[in-house]
Amino acid sequence: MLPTKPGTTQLQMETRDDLLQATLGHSDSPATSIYSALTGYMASFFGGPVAGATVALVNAYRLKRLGTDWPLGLLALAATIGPMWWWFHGGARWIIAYAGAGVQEVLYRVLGLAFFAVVYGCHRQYYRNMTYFGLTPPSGWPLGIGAVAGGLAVNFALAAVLS
Amino acid sequence: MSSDSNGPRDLAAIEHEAHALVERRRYAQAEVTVSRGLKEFPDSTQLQYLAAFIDYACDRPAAAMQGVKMLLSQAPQHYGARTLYAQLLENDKQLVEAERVWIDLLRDYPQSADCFAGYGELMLKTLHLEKARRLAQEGLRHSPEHADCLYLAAMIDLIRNPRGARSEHLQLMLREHPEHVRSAVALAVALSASGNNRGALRIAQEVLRQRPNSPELVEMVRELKAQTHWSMLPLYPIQRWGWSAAIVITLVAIIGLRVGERALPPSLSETLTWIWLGYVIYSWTWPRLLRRWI
Repeated sequence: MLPTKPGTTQLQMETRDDLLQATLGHSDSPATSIYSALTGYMASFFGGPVAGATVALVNAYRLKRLGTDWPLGLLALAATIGPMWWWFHGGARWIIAYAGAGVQEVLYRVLGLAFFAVVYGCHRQYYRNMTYFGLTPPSGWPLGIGAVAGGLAVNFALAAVLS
Repeated sequence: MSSDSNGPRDLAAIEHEAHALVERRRYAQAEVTVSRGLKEFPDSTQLQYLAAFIDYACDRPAAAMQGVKMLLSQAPQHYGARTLYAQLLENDKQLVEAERVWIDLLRDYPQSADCFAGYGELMLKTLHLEKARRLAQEGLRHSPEHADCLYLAAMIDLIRNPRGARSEHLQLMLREHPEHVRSAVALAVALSASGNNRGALRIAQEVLRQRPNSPELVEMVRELKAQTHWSMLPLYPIQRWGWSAAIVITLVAIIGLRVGERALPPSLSETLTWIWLGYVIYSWTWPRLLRRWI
């Protein structure tokens, strides 16, 4: 008989011990549900990438995966500052000439929804998990309204600084 | 054996009969047998457990919890009572305590696939996908064809990949446990995830006929009936491709309306805007109303 590979049993024991550690109930335990995709969608649509990132990062915090998802915050800032800088440095004249006045509203919505698509891609497993097991998300109204207000405030502030 | 046989019977016979009735889901008859048995043998832990289980199965969680706590005060190591206690705690949203009970059970029964599946399901219901996957894997290592572990693994496959109908766990479950209700539930979820809501509804309705008291199945059938209603046809892309479709439709609409504003006569452009607003309001309100009515 071949000898048992050394450490195999110990490895299995370690795996088991790890599995038998409590996951819930600590102060740093993840929440058991996240804000719905609808909350993220509406926040992104009305408040742009910054509002979408607020909902996404609150969800990441609840899932204890801020360490993985923090670049979403940077991406939201880049997706807000970049187009706005371009807008105030010649982009506005060029695009208004082609698409007419008021096109900035359309661009704003497109950016918000594109950002939501990225967020949805990151968290889709959790959304599906909640759907399949009928888990109820927390009410998205307070966070959604706050995120939209914050997103609009950041946009106005950036517009004042960059214009 | 009949429950109304004359004269005292031995405890084992009563327990056997009650157990058989519970297994066949004849809860009303089982309740009569158990209560008669408890009059003769009030200290029987098995009959006390079955009484609590019947309360649980008949959707009387408060009575089940009271019964199981009383039983555990007399027999703290009773396996069935502990697993039932964990499930009752889970249903009562006492998730931290439920986890403690599952972990204690796994320490006492380290090879119990039932406990791995139970704990794994708790983890899945609290969005701990990775831990749930590892628990299912560990359970399947001990018992490769365990129905609940296969169900757990199949659901994780579906969560990770909506095309999980090709999941080997789901296939194995359907092959090994075709009669199991959870096989049908997992298949219905897989069909719905792949866009076949009508097929999923047929399966869910069939399972509901077998388990008419299950609130989860009632909810599943109601949801699938709403999704397959003719009035939901305009929302087919969103039903089929979810949020991806919602994003694409919104983008196409806002860009299209913008282009229309410049290229079309104002009256036509305005009409299209109103149609779009109507579609948005319909997509928000109608599915909710329909679910309430069904």
